[in-house]
Amino acid sequence: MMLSRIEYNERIADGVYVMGLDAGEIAPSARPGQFVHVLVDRDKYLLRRPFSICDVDGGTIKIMYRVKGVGTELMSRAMRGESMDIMGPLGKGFNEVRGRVAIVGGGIGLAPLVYLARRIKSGTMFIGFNDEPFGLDFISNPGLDIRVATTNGTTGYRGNVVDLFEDTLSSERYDYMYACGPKPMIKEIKRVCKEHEIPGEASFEERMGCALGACMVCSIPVKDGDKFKYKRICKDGPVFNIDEVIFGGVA
Amino acid sequence: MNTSVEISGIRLKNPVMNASGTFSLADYEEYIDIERLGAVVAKSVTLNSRQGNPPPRIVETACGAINSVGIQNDGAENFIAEKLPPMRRFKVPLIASIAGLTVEEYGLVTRILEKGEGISAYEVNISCPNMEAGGKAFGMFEEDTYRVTRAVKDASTRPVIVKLSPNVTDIVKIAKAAVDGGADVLTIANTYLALAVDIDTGRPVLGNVLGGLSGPAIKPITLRLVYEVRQVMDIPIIASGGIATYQDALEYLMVGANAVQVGLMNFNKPDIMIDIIEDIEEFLDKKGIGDINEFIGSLKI
Repeated sequence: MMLSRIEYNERIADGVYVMGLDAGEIAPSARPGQFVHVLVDRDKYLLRRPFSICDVDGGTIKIMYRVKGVGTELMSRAMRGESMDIMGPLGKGFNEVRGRVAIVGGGIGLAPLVYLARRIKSGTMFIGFNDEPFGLDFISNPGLDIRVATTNGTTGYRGNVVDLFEDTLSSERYDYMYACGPKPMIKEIKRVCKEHEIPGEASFEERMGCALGACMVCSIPVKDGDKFKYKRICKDGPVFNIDEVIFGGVA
Repeated sequence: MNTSVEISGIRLKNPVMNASGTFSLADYEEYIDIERLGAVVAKSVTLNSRQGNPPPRIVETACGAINSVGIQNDGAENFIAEKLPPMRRFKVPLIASIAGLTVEEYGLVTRILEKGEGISAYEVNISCPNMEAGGKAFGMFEEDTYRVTRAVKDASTRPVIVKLSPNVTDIVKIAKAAVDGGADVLTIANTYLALAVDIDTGRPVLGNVLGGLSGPAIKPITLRLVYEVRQVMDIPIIASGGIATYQDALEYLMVGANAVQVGLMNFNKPDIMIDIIEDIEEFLDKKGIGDINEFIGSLKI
């Protein structure tokens, strides 16, 4: 745990914010795909909230979040100079592989992909939004081609980012795939990757307790032979091989 | 100053330990000096491995949280073979936690745990659903509480701590049933059955629908349960319910608990138990109390 000073907390789109935290003890060891566990308000809320590390800049870690509940609402009102109690870096991040990679993100699922996108050598980022894109200016990598899909068609490809990705695969080849986004989207990506025999991994989220691996709260069903078992998103993940994760009911 | 307490022959250097399922040595040792704790309680184990409940398994509520993990564990044999040996690296009394879905299972789990070395006592989790009687928790009924306690006691060479369910009409009757069954110590109490609803989706928030409420919200209620039992029984009591500060811990001790467990707040601050231990010492020092045992049960009515 450490108190970390807020360097900035900016609104970058409707309900989407980026916060920079002075976290000299966390930043140097943070890997793409890892997360921090944030105590949003010490007086009002007991449970910490997990946020992907969006990017690292010297001793600063950046988190990108969408205002969804009371915790993120409070966070969005935090001011520069105030401090946040954070733990991290936690979890197992992305496996950084060689070759030509595809990164597929949807909406706020962009958050853990920014740092990853900065580090890969060559590939394409497919990123989908419902309407106005956000956060794309955080990604600067000459080896990375960025293609945008919007559901309403205002920017880039009109439609779903998975369709954009799938269309592309008829003419392009990727060695590996990384994804983050809503679960139904990841499920579709899994299908597409299976059809095109592209191995890959995705970052997942769930309501979390301790974030250290002890409480078994943030579980995700994965294949275990012909059965299933629950793994811990906080410690075994949050990044899992896309093939092992089970989508939908398991009981 | 003496902060050590004795519970059924087990000497604890101070009265602070974790509540089962909210802490583990392997995952927390990086954040907290384990050997400063009074004791450590392991996560409940059943005879066979259990997957646990579908997610989501936790939701924050006013001053607390509802959880429904569903005793996810790898089984008692695995506990003895894999989990227990690394736990013995620490000089701290270790309490294993026994769960089951039938009365017989509690006895079978106890027999397996008897093979494990370095266990100071058993805590019996009687808030599991009784699969032979409609799935209500054993701890809701005197007869089931008695039978489960007896099954563990008959198989045990170690002190037996029974962790009572608070979801009962008269905690004293259940406490007496546990003592009749052979309980050496009572933990009061487990979480309160609770529900959270998502008004946007029109569904329960938790995958299991119902869960158990813990956290500061429940402290005054569990404090009352400890009080009720202490009024009529001399058995050692470990209090567990919503402890977030040293004041909370001291309230329980003053009412007559001999030790306390910290649960949900371990998620908030991984070393919060150390804060509580240090703050208790400071309090006693300030009050000129040389022995914590003088403070225990000192409530004046």
